[in-house]
Amino acid sequence: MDKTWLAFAAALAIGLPALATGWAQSKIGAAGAGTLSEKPELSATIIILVAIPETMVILGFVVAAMILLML
Amino acid sequence: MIIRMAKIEVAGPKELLLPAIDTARELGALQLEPEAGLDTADGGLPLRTMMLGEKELEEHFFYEDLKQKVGELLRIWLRIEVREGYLAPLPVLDIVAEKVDVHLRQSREWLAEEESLRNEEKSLQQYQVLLPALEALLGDIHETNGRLAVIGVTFKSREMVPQLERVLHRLCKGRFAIHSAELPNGDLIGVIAIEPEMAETIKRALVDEQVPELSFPEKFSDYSLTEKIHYLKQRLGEIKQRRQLERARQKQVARRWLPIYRRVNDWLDERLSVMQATASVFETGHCFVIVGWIPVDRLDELRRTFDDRFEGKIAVEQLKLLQSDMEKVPVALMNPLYFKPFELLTSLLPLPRYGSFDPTPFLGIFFPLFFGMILGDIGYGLILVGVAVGLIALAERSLLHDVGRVLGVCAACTMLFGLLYGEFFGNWGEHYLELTPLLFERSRAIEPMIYFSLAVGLVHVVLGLGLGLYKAWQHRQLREALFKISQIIVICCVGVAMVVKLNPAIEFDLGPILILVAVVVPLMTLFGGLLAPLELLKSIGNIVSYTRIMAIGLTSVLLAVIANRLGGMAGSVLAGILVAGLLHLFNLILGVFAPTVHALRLHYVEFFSKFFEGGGRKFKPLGGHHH
Repeated sequence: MDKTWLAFAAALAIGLPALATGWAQSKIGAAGAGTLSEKPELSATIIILVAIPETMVILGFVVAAMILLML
Repeated sequence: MIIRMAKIEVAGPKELLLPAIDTARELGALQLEPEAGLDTADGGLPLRTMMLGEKELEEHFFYEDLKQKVGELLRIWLRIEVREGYLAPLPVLDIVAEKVDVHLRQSREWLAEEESLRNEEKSLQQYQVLLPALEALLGDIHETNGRLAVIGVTFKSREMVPQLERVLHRLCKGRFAIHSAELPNGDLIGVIAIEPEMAETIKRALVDEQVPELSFPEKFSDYSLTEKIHYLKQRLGEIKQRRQLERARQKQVARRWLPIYRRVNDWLDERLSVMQATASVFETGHCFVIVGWIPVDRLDELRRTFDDRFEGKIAVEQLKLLQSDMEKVPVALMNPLYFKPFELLTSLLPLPRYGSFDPTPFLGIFFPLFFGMILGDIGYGLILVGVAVGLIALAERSLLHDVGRVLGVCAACTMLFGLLYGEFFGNWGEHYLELTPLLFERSRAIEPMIYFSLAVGLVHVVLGLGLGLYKAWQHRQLREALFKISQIIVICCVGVAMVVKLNPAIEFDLGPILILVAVVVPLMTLFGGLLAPLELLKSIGNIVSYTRIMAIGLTSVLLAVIANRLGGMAGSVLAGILVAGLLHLFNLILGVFAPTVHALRLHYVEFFSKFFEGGGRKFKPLGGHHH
């Protein structure tokens, strides 16, 4: 039973941030694509903006790994 | 790295201005500063922005006019390929100025005629699709000497054919013939043969039945259908022949003159750039004064050249670089051969400000390392080496050449980390080459890999903070420097605490470390403001973000293992190789894309945010595009 809860917690820890990251990137990506069509010189800024929400899922992954490996 | 610049003032007699600018253009090292803010010369003489004399203005307008005409001619003759010209433009400038009008008039006429012929051809080609079908239909109907009238029609649907047939039967009492055919584009057309005296009645009936007649261009309206088809074919042939003839004639003229015009155009560009540069020049009654920027290591060369050519009549003096000048100093990057291709990656960012750091060398060191840490496979590395060598060999001196060189370094790092992880196409090397990891096996050692990634992140972020500290120190920003130091101290303390906590074998008293953190954090707020703790949390978050090195690397190695396993399950050797090969190829494509994006992101977001200062002005020396 404990193992099930741990797996469930780990899945939530990575699943929810993954959804949040996807949602955030969809918004930023769409706006970024629009920006790039007018100002291609901002490509680095757009890459940075699109990449920023990824930290959420990476943090979620670390938490999930900690749940599975350390508890 | 950012090239050191010198601010200089060049002064000399007015009549030497254009030769002086021309010399500077030849050297390609001097950028003029139009906003130099010079009001008075040293002796108190009034300085004003240079105005061209009457003769120079006349010359300027003549060149501008000629440039515009030659430019138009070159645009018209754009697609004609000719040899390169070697004629010196200046002696033939008058002849060119005379001839360009004639050639321009001829070319404009040719262009107008070409346009009209092309439009006519395009409109006639719409009917061309009808020709084969109509000719086939008319083969069955003999329209001879006015004994029969032939009408072409378009049917909206197939059901309209029998409906029209019934109408024709009623009106012509059976004395008619109708044939229909489908065009390649799916439209349905037909021809009706009737007695000439019935033609008008049938045309009215067609209007009533809403069956449109085939439309042809206005000028064919007086002809019968057979004649229309004949003239259509004839006209298309004529247009084609005419266009070919005119094109050949233009090509003949262009072959003789185009190389000369191209040379003249380049010469005019240079000449006009020299004249336009005079707008950034200041003058007194008899002298000119130029203020500009030049790389420090080329200042002596400029001085020597001016002394040699103008026998000391032009003085070059280096001015003191003031703090208020720092925003105006143009930025040029100069990196050693190894780092040069990595400028490709920094070019995505704004140019660094003068006095800050060029991030290219850091990218040159850490980008391939991160790429290798993520992909880490000897087999993939070997394939990437092949691709890199191909790109370097095929694309000489272009963007792809630089991409090849960056990829080559990344591939070498991939092989190095592949050796450390013991991976050769995933676990294939372990099974068949008895390859053993020198560091750890990524697919199983998840925990050590997380710590490894975090350690890399800690070193990278602290290095970024260190560079930020150095920059703050250089600019005498004491509070900023102290804030960076306190951040470094706290991050290092957190790092030590983590190591001690995770490794029970280490006996270390964390008390002093915690006291140090407790002392430094309030001080940090003092130096960095109320948001300083948030900044610290951001930096710690940045370090955690480096675990992506492990996460993406893990997906890469697991995909490779799955490729091998599926290949082994395929049943036959050939199918196995095919399945595994395809999956490895997919993994490799993904494995090149993901590490590139993520390694770049780690630099742009986590590393550069600690010290990078963008917004530099690009160094654009006179005549720079020739150097």
